[in-house]
Amino acid sequence: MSRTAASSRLRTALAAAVPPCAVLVACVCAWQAAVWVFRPGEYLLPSPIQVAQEAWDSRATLARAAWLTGLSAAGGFAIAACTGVLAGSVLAASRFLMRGLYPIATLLQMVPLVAIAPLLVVWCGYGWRTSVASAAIVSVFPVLASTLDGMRGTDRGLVELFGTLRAGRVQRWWKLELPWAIPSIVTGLRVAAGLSVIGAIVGEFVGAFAGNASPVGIVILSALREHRTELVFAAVLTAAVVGFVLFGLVSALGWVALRRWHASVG
Amino acid sequence: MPDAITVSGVRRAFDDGTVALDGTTLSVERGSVAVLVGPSGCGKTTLLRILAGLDAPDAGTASVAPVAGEGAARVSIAFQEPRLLPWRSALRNVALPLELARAAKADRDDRARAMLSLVGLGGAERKLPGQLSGGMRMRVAIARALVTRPQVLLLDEPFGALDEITRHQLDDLVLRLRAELGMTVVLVTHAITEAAYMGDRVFVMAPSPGRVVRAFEPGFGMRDAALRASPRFAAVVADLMQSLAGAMLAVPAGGVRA
Repeated sequence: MSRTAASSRLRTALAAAVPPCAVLVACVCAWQAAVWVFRPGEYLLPSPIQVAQEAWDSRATLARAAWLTGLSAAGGFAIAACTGVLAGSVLAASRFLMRGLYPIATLLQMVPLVAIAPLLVVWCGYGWRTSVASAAIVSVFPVLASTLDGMRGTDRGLVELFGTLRAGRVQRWWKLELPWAIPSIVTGLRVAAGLSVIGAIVGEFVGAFAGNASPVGIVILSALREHRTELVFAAVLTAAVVGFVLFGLVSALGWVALRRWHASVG
Repeated sequence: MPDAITVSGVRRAFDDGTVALDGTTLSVERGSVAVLVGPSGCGKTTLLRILAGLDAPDAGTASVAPVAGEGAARVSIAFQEPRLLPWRSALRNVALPLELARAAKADRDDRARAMLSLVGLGGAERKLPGQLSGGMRMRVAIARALVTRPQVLLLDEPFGALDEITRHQLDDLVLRLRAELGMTVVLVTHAITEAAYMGDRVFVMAPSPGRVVRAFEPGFGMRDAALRASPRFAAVVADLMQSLAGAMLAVPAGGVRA
């Protein structure tokens, strides 16, 4: 890529970032103004300045919490990514399995995570395992569905070509169907990345216990007990940052994986 | 020269009742270019797919004879579309058949590179299909079909979607490759001028049911631009057109054979 193309792409990206940033700044200003005018009380709604102050004061706790929750989410995401792609591939390969299993998978996906989260504690015990399991469960379905969709959309002509070249089933999967499905899989992975943080925190709510290593979910629960609403806000923001970072990492990986696709389409 | 392809009494009917081929008999001499020409529905693509092993006749036989000393004949097909993997470079697209047959990497890259330069794409090895023109993509597809050094190359209306000048270039490319590599070529087309130019032997086909109505040898030795402009070429084209028109008229509506 030429340097001018790269710099113009950077400029486009910056231009795209301006409107959401402006809206964000406006919202924060409105929030601050509302707190000044209505004085709802700190325990109901702290001002952004108070939240920022609290976040700075508790930066060590929050950073540690972000790291722990991020690890659980990333672990769950990794499990979901592998399981989802493999399960999707298997279902795509077999009409029989797809007819039998896909409706059930869809149905299972409707079961609310919070409802089964206590069960996870029974199975995985208190601690990080429950968070990882919870993150994996909530993010596996989008990966499975996007893999299945992508593979089933494989160009019929190319499948026929592989037939004339006497490709084996595994060759067809690895060299044709999987790369063909990558744009779709990347979309599913991006959705899963965001969900995995939610799953991890739900897991922490039900399954983690307070110790010297408190993940975001525990920080939120103990801050609520202590009526430190501003710390709750700061922790929620931390969770959002974790989700954003995970989403960004997956998007960046996806971009690398899709470069060939983009080059060939664009 | 012995025959490379023998088709005898082939019938193929589809589930919806269409008779794509009936009583089709023809033979193709080794190392020659055979052209199947006819309107849509005359079964020419079905016949090609049978030869490629993508379809099977309901009755009759279609066989490709192996060269003496080899077990089975190698047959390659190039389709109407290039059918390239969009994420693979031209070189890796051409190497695909060797890769699927588990050839050693160094060997398959060498052979793919040699074949790419033979089709006039030396230097475009690293280009992705999206970065190539339609004609170049078709060249890659032909290189991929030839990289296994098949004894028979089947071409299913490969240049139909291209502009006429590019089509002429690719027709000449196929003739040159045939001369250099010595394979038998079967070309399916609905373009009468292409049939007249390419065929050592031209089989005129008619629909309902699909069958060969005329086998015909244009008798051109050397093909070049001058031939395309010559009166004798125009005469052959006119002759072919008449056969095709006659074939269409001879068929009563409803597909009952006259």
